[in-house]
Amino acid sequence: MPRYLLFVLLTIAACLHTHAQQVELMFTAGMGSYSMGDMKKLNSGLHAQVPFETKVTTNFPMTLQLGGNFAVQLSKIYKMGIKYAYNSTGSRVAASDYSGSYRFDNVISGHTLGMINSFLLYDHKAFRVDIQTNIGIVASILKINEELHVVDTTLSSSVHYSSVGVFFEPMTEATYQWKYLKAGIFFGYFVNAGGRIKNEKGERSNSTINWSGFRFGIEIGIHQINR
Amino acid sequence: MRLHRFPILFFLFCFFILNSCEYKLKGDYFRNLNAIPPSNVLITISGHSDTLIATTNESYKVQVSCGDRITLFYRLYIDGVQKHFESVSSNTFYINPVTFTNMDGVYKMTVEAGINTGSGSIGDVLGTEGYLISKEFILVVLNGQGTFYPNQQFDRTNGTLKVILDVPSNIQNVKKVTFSKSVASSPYAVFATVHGTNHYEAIDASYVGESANFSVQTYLGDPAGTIFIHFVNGSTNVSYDLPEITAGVSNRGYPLLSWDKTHYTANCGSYRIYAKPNGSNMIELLGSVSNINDTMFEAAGATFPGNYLFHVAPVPIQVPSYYTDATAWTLFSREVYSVVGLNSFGFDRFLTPNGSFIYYTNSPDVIYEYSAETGTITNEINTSSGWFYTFAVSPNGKYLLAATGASDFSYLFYDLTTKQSTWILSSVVIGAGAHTGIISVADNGLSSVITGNKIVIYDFLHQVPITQQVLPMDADRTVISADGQYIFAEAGYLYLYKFVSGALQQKWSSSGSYGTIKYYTFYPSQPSEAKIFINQTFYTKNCDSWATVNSFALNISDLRNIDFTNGHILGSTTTYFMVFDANTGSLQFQNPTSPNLTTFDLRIKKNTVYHYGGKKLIIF
Repeated sequence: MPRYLLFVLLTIAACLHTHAQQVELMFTAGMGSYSMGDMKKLNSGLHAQVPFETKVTTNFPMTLQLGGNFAVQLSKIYKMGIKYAYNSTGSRVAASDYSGSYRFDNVISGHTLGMINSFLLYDHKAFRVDIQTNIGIVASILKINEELHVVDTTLSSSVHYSSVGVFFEPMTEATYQWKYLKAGIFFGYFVNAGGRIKNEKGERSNSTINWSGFRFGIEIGIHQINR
Repeated sequence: MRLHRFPILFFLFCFFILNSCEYKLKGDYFRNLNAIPPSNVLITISGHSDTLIATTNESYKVQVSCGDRITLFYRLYIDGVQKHFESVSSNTFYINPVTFTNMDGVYKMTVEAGINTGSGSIGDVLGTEGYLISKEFILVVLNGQGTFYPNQQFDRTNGTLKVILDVPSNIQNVKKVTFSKSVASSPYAVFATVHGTNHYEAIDASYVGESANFSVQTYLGDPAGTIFIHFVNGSTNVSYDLPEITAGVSNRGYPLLSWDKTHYTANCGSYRIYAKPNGSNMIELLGSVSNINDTMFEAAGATFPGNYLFHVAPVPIQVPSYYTDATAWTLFSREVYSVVGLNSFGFDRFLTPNGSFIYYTNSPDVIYEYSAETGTITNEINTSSGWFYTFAVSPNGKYLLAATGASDFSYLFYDLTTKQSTWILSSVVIGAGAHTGIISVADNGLSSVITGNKIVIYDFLHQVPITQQVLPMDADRTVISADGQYIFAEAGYLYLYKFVSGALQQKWSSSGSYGTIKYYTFYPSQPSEAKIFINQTFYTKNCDSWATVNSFALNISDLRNIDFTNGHILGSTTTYFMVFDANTGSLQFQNPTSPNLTTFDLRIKKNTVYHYGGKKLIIF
């Protein structure tokens, strides 16, 4: 497990343990779409180079995003915190016939850790709308598996790559509070920069893993009432 | 303490849950393909049959014809043992079998090709599936051949031509030889195929001594001599060996050819005799002699007068297609030159009165009397006072009259029986200063003499002038009958006079539509009958009434002369001379004659036709 991720989780746990004023801990679940431009180009190139006919059966589809965030209401309109999200998507170039099969799989997992800057836009009683401008980093793990099976012969290879990039995420969330509970929905756009892929030896390529795309979902958590 | 641990454990739990949520790929792209076996796959070696004869260490191009399929690899087996494997990506590749076996011999060579299925499947594209196609060849390895030029030798003994080829001992594996021949530009025709080792020979059964090109093709063969490949060839020309020809003249006067017997008695079936008239490019096949021991040929029917190049060509028993008249003339025969006709006398005047004598001249001052019975000159009448101008003989050979000059000359009146000569000055006969050579004399001494437009009748026997007659114009010719009673005079028209009461009385003239008169005379035995040839009809006319006594057609363009003694009329066309019966006009004989002679002249007497150039032909 990456040490920085462990550090973030421990920080969140410590905050939960303190007697904070106007803090909240939310769990999020939603959907995310992904640009993955360079990776799609990789698939296109592969499709053209493979001597037999192939097809991209999966091409980095929109997937479920899970995560959470911890924030402190520092003023009436401003809230600051940290967030974490997990995204995973992939692609497959495939072909099969009577003589064998071919798979070229890319599975990318991304861990997003960032800072929440939230501003109150509207509130009425327990309902409020905030806009956020979140920033942070995205750590990605790329697993490429290639497998060829012909007649009685199987050839396979598996390599791992990684990348780290930064993101900027404008987002709007609407929440409703009831006692200690808080629930809401959010919608935003995730802008990813950097993220050049490097191999296990640390050698970087010009291709990047780009998680840019829409984010939307629901959130639910606990909210501490002012005393 | 427990409360403190819970959040940590909770987040760790969440973290692992998240990691277990890694995206699971799914989906496949299945193509429903089928491998179809190829049809009509053919493995060939370019430029070779299924029998590959390898004489050198060289590569051979293998072609796999399999439509749109691709050859992925091939294996080469020799006698069932794999000698080579190679991956390829083309339907054409090269093999070098001698690399694997260089011992002379015959082997079974198998080329096995792996071709793709063409289905487009993964296995097809990656070359891991396909069909195996094989083809078996016969490999004949013949190493160590040198080079040589096949030079043929010829043996002309025993009535045949034997062609011999000896292959040097350092040339191995020559197992077969074919011998062929070409004459002129004919295609080479194989006449023998011989199997052997070093010495080869064959007899050309069609050779009869011609000039020909002989070609020999050599073939390398496997040790058993059953499989062959063309090796080298060579050609050699063989020169003439043809019969020598000599030309003589037969008793009749036709060329008589004789030649040496052919040296190739086993092959020769006959001789052909060809002739080419001098000045002509046409080759005539005169005839053939089927008995090769008969080496003589009379060229009967040869053009008279004429001269020829004669060829005698041996003919093979089986006549080849190239044996044409042209090749027989140029390549199968020698030649000889010959003139048609027996040697005779030349002449510029030739008179044949009734009887057995011919009177002719070929010199200025001598008139010869020649016996047609003995073929000898029996008298020479010398006009020694000067060269004679012309002469005439009476119809029954009684007298000869010669004019010995053109002006102020003397006439020679000669009695052919007593051989007495009488000289009379022309001034006495026709007057001083007059001139003439147009004369005719009768058997009683009367003579018809033309001078200018005047006809003079003079009795040379008694040396008495008889009468004169003026003609409408200058005359060209005159003829007097044997009895001196009738006279033809040609002066524009032809006039017939009769001597009546010391004067000339005109009996007939040709003025009117009588056609073209080509010949006229009087019948020696019946002087009152005229013989006249008008157009192509020969008439016998009564001189008193000019009634037709007899007539018949003669298909000739010119009438040369009449031999009344033997009853023959000699006429001619442009291509033939013809002899007719003088009484009936039936054709008795004909022979080609030269159309090219510009001074053509023939005469007949007895059984012989004479040409003024000094040749004669005995026709009966």
